[in-house]
Amino acid sequence: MVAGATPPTILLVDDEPSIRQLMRFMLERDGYVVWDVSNGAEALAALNSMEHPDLILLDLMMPVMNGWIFFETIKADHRFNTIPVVIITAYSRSEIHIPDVECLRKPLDFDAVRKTLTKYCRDKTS
Amino acid sequence: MKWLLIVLIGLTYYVLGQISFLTVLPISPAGPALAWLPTGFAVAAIYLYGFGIWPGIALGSLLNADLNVVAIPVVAGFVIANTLDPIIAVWLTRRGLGREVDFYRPLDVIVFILVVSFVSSPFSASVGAASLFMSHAIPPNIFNFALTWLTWWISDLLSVLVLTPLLMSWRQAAPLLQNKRNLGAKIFGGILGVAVLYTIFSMPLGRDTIHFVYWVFPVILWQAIRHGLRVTAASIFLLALVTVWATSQGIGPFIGPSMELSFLYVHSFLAVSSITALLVVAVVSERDRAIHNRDEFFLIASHELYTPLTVLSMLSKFLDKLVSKEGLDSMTRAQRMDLIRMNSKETQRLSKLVEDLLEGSRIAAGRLVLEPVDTDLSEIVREVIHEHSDQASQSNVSVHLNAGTEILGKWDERRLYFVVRTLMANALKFGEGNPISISVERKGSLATIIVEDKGIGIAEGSQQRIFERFSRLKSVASYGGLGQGLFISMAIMRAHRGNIRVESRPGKGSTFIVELPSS
Repeated sequence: MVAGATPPTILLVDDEPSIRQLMRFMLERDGYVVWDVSNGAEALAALNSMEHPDLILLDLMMPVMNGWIFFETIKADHRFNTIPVVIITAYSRSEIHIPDVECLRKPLDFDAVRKTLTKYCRDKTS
Repeated sequence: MKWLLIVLIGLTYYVLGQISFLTVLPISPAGPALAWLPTGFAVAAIYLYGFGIWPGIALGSLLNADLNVVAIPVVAGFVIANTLDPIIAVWLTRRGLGREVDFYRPLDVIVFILVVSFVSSPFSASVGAASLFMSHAIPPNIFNFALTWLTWWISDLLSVLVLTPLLMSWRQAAPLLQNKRNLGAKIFGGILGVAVLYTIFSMPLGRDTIHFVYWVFPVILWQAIRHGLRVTAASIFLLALVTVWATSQGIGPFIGPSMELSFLYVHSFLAVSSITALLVVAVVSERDRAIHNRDEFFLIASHELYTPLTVLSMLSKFLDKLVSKEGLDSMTRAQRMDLIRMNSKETQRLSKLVEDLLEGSRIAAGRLVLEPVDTDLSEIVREVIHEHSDQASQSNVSVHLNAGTEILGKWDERRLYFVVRTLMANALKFGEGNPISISVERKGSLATIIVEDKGIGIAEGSQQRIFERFSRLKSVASYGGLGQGLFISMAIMRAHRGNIRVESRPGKGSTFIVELPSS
């Protein structure tokens, strides 16, 4: 991470408070700015009120608005459809029925999470 | 549009009536008919379009009355009998079940059969036969009255047993039949059925052919097990057509000493066949549903277990790396405490999930044994609200408690905690962020807890299902949980000789009322 540069921003969408807390703790130690929300509707509200994040980490099974609907909504919205999304879920790749999206399986391997984040936020982290 | 529907229903009723009049008993040209198709149609029509279409049924019934043959009071009796008959059938089954009849559930089928056999058809037969009797449209003796009543009753009943499920099967899609859509098997079943019927009705044995009638049952059962309501109801309808036609031509095993008796034999055979078929379809489909729910439950349970495991495994890997590379001192004391708390919280959650799974199995196996101790109900409710206060404030939900002094009793405290936690968690989960109010009070010898949310609510037809094991009205994609909280809670309350009920309207919220006798 280059000191002084704008730190990369992650929007973390997961309904589990403990997962949000832990991910936030770990990611902030790595120098990311983390916005965390507990469902798709809150995530949409956050997107409307913040600068575009460098990446959205998205859980699927959530109340109010689940991850599938949130994903469809932002992909259909030209303001947001360029923001990269990585799905974090306990489902297997074939079960989530969303083509061409990167997927991290729960239980999450934090090294894999780091690697993926670095890939998407390379401009800012290199 | 509605009047067009009513006229269409009236005309269909009339046409079916005219077809049925071909089978009128010789004792009176006014009726009753040996096969009466309109009632089965009328019951299905009311189920599908509501009570509002009753003028159509009355109209069809009126058109069917031949004013040259019967007097006005008899016509009035017919119209009343024919119009009220399907209304009573639908109203009573709906009332008995608390929801629309579902031919894929055994209880529904049993209630439906009981209502049409013992209430709606006897009512129609009584009014109809009495009209004919009192206006001397049938020879005025008790034998003719009894024969008219019996014929009216059984032909009416049979019409509902055979035609209503067939017509409704086009609306009620078979659940979980995806794996059974085998056209080859259906064609084979059809050919087998026709072959069996042809053999039975072409045997040159006269009445002795009756001993071969039993061969119909393996074919019917096979259809019911393999192909669901639509195919089975259609098979029974075909069986009825063939049997009634052949008997009217003097062919087959049901020929008795008189036409009336022959048809009584036919009707009895068809009633047994259709009741058997309907029950088997319902039982098989309940079995399929149970298997499906169990498999779904395993999937959901593993997902639920995954969440605390995810946190615990990430935490241990993180600590492993941290200790071996940077050392624990790279974290502040507060950060370390946070991680320790997180660890113990998720461990507790994991053990609670496992305990809930065990409790569910214990109850399903009938091994729930209460451990009563001196308990204060108000204290339990206060404690549970406190436990959920973080979650409530995170979602901006205000929880209003209305509890007086202590409410003491000898109850299983641990399990009452479970009940109150379940209701509280559900209110938060389905309350859509609206305020929740909880009250605890004692009314005479009954202690009550009332948990009220203003959330998504539950449709009336689904209010009983929420207490079934593994039941889940909302997709797991949006609302997690094992789906057995209310099932366990209900079992706990029943073991205390108490009860839980729900009052709810979709979109307005739900109120759960727990009633607990002091013991």
